[in-house]
Amino acid sequence: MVSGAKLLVDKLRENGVKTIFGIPGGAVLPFFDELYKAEDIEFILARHEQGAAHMADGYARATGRAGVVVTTSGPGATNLATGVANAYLDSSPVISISGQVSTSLIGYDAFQEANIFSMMIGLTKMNFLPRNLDELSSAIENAFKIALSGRPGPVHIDIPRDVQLMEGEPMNNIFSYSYNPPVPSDEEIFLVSRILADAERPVILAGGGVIMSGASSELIAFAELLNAPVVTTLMGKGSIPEDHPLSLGCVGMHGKLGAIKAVQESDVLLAVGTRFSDRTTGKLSGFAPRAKKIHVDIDRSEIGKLLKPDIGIVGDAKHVLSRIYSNLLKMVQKGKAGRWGERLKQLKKESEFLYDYDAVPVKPSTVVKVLNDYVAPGDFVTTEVGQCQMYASLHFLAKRPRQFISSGGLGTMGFGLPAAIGVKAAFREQRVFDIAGDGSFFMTCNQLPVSVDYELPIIVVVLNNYFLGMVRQWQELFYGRRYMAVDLKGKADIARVSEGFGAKGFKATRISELKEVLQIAIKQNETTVIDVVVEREDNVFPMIPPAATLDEVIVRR
Amino acid sequence: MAVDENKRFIVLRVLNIPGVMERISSIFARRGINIDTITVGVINGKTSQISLTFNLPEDKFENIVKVLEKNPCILEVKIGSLESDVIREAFVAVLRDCDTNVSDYIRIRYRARTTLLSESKLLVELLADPRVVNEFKEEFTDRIESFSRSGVMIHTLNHYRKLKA
Repeated sequence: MVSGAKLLVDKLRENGVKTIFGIPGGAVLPFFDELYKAEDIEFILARHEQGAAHMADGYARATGRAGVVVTTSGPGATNLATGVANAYLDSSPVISISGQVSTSLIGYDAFQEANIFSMMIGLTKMNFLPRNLDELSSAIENAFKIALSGRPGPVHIDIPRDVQLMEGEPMNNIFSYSYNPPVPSDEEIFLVSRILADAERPVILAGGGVIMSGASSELIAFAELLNAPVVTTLMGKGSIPEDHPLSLGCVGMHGKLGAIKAVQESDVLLAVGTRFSDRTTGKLSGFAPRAKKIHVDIDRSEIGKLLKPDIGIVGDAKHVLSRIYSNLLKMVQKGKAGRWGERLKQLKKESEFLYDYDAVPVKPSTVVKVLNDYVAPGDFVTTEVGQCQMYASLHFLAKRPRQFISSGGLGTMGFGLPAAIGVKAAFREQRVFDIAGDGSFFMTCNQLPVSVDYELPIIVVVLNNYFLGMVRQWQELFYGRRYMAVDLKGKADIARVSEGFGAKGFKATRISELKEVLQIAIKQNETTVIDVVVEREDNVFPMIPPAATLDEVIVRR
Repeated sequence: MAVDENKRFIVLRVLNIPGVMERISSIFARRGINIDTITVGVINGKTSQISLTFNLPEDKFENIVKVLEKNPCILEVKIGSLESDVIREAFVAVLRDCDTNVSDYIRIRYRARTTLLSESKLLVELLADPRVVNEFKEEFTDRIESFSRSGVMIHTLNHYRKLKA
């Protein structure tokens, strides 16, 4: 005989869960009482459920394993929505669990009851509302399989209180999810290989799917064999080390100029594990206009969803890249393929920025540039959303997959800080930096005590311009500089707020001060927030105006 | 009979668990697609079959089929067609101002079951191609007092087509 709560703990353990993030409450107390006995599972108490979900998400993105978040019913579960939606848009395997009122009370407006099942339908890959032990057992088993297989994504389980208390011998007989990875035919692989071998200016566009499938080494070997430059989406950042001679950085609305031009000049574009987000492509009809487009993705429904490729291949990035690579070995000589030649060096040069280390107020781009020197290859960088995120995308050089963790699809301000805590919970020996803006910082800074309490030190670098910077930039460029509801005034003292939360708080107004403070933060190994006062109206460039093609890139005011 | 090119018929084999209908209808709702008819029947304890009809242009239809296919609670998606599959709708109506001649005509012309409810009221039970149901409705529009229709049920014959080929 086993209770629902015990079954849940046992199944989480069987699925390798060692850390859970969340907040308890009435409808989930039986589970917490069982967790009390489980010494091998650490529970990290968040200060708000949205942050708890971001922690689980950060944990999942850094490790590739499922991140788990547990909350109570009603407000506990509705607070999860943003975090779960964020994981869904970026295909992150989060298992989110909420307590629910007892089955006899569901639908009767009981205390802390909300229709979480319906809410989660649009935000998850799958969700369950088990009503007995058999269904609970099957839900947990299938949740992990569904979250981690194929294109990963979040799965939610809403567990009524009486189901947690039920006793019995559960049977796994409801349904068993099975996933067979799609395998492209030899003909498809040969055809694509031939096109790539004959290409003069091939470009590889690597998305988050390359990182999720663990296809980085295949991608690099592939690019080197073809002598093809690699551009990435924000989610694909780090799939190739960004200091690699063939890496041109991110392409898109705030992509690097060289990356944007390479895509536009390409005659064959191989896009792997990407969904052609509008933030990546600009106006689709003008995206890589001369290129024959090959789209590889594990999610069949992504092929042709937005961009209609010349050839679509449904398959896992690692599998497909290695098979094309084997074909190409017979077709081309390493480094001799294509005709990019000197143009590649020019493109790299066009992406270069001039950093002013002495300017006061400091340029946000220089702050991120300096930060590169303090981030070891094993360390992690998370970001918030907005200008700070785009400065990070442009000026931080990711050295490996999963090093750069950012909210791409949903664009959730406040993601970076809790995500950094989640990353740190998985990698205690590595440093974790959050590149933030002041707007984002104030959305989830209430999670700082979690970092302090659980000795999960992170370093938050706030690019503080006292503005909602990206909105201000749009108002400047597209709304005649009519600034509306973007001025954050700057009366709140970020360093002192952080000190109040138990973290170390610093303020820096010069690059030299920033360097000193970073050294202290790294040496002290405590949760640290560095408030860097940056130029208020600095804009992120390059920029593709909304609904414009990549050719219409703006590089200055 | 005229064929509306954007009219879609699909059959889903789905898990027989709570919430599946909502999960499927939300796929349509968020894309602004109106489901015209929906019928559900239990196949066995674990799975059910859903027949759906809706209007959608070809270029969008392909994507929604793929989106349905990848949903974990949908085990199989089949596309039906008026030309080669059995597509039927049940239609029940009460007609006024009818006599035995009308009743005979309906039985022969539409192969429907008819029952005289009173001297002039006729119960009609019809199982037919939805286009035939529409024809019937049009022909007797002045006499129909009340009616119910079941929504479309689709039985695909793909399997037999393959055998023939």
